[in-house]
Amino acid sequence: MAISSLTHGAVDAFRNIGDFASDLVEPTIRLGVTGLARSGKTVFITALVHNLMAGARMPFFDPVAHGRVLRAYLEPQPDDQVPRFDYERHMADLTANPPRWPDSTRRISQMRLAIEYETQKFWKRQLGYNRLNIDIVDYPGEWLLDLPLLRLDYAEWSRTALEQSGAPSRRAAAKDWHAALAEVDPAAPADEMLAEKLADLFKAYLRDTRADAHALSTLPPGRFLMPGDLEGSPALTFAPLDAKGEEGFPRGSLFAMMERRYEAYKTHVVRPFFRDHFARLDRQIVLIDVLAALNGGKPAVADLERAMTEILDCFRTGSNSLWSSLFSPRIDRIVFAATKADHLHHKSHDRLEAILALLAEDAMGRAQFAGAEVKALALAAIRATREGIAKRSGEQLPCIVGYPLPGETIGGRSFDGSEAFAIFPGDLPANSETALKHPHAQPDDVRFVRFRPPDPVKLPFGGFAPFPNIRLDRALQALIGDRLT
Amino acid sequence: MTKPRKPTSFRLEEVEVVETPLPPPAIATDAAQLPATVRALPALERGWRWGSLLLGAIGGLVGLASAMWLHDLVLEMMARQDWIGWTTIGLLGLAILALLMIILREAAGLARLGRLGRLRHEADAAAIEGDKTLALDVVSRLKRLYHGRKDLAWGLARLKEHEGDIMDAAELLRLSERTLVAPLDPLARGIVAASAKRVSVVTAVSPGALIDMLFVAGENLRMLRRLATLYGARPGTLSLLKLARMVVTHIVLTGGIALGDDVIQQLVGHGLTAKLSARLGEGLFNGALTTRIGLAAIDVCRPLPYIEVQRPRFRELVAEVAGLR
Repeated sequence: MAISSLTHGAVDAFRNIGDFASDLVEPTIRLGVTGLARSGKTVFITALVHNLMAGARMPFFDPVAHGRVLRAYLEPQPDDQVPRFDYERHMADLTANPPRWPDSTRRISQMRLAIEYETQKFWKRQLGYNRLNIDIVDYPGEWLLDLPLLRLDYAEWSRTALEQSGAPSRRAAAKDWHAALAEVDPAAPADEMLAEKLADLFKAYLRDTRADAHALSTLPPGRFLMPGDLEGSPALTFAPLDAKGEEGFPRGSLFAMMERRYEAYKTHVVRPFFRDHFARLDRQIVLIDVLAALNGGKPAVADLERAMTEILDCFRTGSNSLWSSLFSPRIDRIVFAATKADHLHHKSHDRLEAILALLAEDAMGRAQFAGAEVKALALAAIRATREGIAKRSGEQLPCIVGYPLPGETIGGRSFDGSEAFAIFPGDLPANSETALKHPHAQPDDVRFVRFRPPDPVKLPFGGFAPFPNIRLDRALQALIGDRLT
Repeated sequence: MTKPRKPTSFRLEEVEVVETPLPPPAIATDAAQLPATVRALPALERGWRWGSLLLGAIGGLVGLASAMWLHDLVLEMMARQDWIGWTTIGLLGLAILALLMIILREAAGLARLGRLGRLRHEADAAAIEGDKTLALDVVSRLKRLYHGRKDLAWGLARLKEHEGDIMDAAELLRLSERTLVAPLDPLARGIVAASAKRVSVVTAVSPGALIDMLFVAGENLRMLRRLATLYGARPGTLSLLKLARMVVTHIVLTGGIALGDDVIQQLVGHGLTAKLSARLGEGLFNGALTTRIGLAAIDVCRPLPYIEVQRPRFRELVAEVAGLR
């Protein structure tokens, strides 16, 4: 594997053997929830935990449907240096009056969910295996963008970053930075002040592209947008330089300093993040907000496609042999989910799934080829809308009904969030190829509106009823159903 | 392709919003049923149906004769004593009423059996093609079929809970099978096993071959009736006969598979037992035959195909008959 160096490989192998041994004592699944920023990772995790803990009916999650799950509860997470996933606060947000979505995640957090179940397997019964731990990590989606950096050196990265900033949709935001960059000679002696200025301008440019309402802005490095605990650290003070085709800059030059910092960023920030949280996954769900990308039009779709392909390249997927499960476990089940499926009438879910399949074609094909089990579905971890048909002057439109968030607009009407509306988001193209290649062939073909969470239902004996969802149980079945037999 | 529709929004007061209703039942016409009729072969020229004419005419004569006879009977009774005459008329009325009711019941039974067959046929189609509309229709008819049955109230309530959920055709059928049909399956197997046991024992101990035959036939019909009632057909006499015909057809059609499956073992086993005792071997053979008929009947009567549940296998049922499980 290209990412981990030899020493790391040895250390990882030992750690994996340790994990393997502890799995024998206490079976554990490391579930990777992968998704870019705003794809709904936090909501997915919260809904998953709530559904399992509240004993929701999940007709297509077999262990629950067959009544074999006794109970599920939160355990202290295994890694002491990582903060706990703040399940209670996210639930408080979702059950507030009026309910609101949890804030975007700013730092990494972890959680262990224990599921007690009755096993059907003879040997598991004899050995007393009746509990499965699920470790889940939540992190800012921006950080995920860093994973592809592990394969790029500084010169390559500079080149791609400059190329991307030249795109028409980004040129305006990058104007100041480009101007400053034009005056810089990368071979000049290193100057801390200049480096800082360039880094600041670069960060401002990244922030601007991200602030654009529809852009998904898949520009690394992720910590520049969401620094976490590293705010102001020198590892974050670098920016791409225009090498203008030259190579071999002298020691002590600006280019060399930037290069060193970039490498430091990779070594001290990106690689530990990857090794601690992604290199050891057993199962993975990839949340992709296809609808937001379709909203954003062609550049956003292209962005999303490229980012997902690059990120998914970093994971080891495939079926496990005894050898690989000892030394370098692979992800043997992977679910691709088009999130926020509740923004659409269910009749369009097939088309959404087709678009998702096309979008993640490469990654899916690779995983399948390596022997992993792959499933793609349209999902809504929390379903914020109900469905209906609006009848108007003989026309019937399949609609969704809900409370649109303030600031959302559709067909010239903007919402203030206080009223329920029936929304018809437009027809998804029947041909998924067209959907990806020419979204918005005509302006405003489709427009997906975000909704506020559904009203929480209080249970008489305390707590809240599980939120309605779309296909959460199918996703769970595909992810962990086989381990709960 | 139609012109793409623009995204819009409506205030809830502006338009009439109906929660997604179930589509109107799409009942398959006979023309839509498989197998497709082949039009190439010319139908045989029949001309006048003399046979039917003969039967019809004789039937009419017999009817007329009996009407005359009854008329005369009533008049004769009237002539003898008034009250005897009226009693005769009353009895005659009762007889006619009973006859009508029997005909009605048989017709209803036949209709129910036909409905069950169509339901199964369409459920198969919906499962294979993933047709959501058809699946919804099948499930709503299944619910109507089982509506008001106390033993399925729990399943119906469970199914109702999931009404607003978003499911595709296969998932909907799977859920319906799990909640409505799967609970009936063990009972059906119990019925088959019980009948097979009785047939085996009676054949093994009965003194004469004729008694055997009568008992085996009766017991099999009884089993068919119980199975059909369990799955919702409640057959009368005629429909029971029709069901029996369907079961036999099914056995003939799937006979090839069954032969490969377990008949060979069964024959070998039977041969061994027959060496020990002829009566015992015969008993076992009749029991196995009944089991096979029962399995075919389950196949014919079950309103949904096997999706999640395993189809009961002959071998398992034999074990159940033998009391091994």
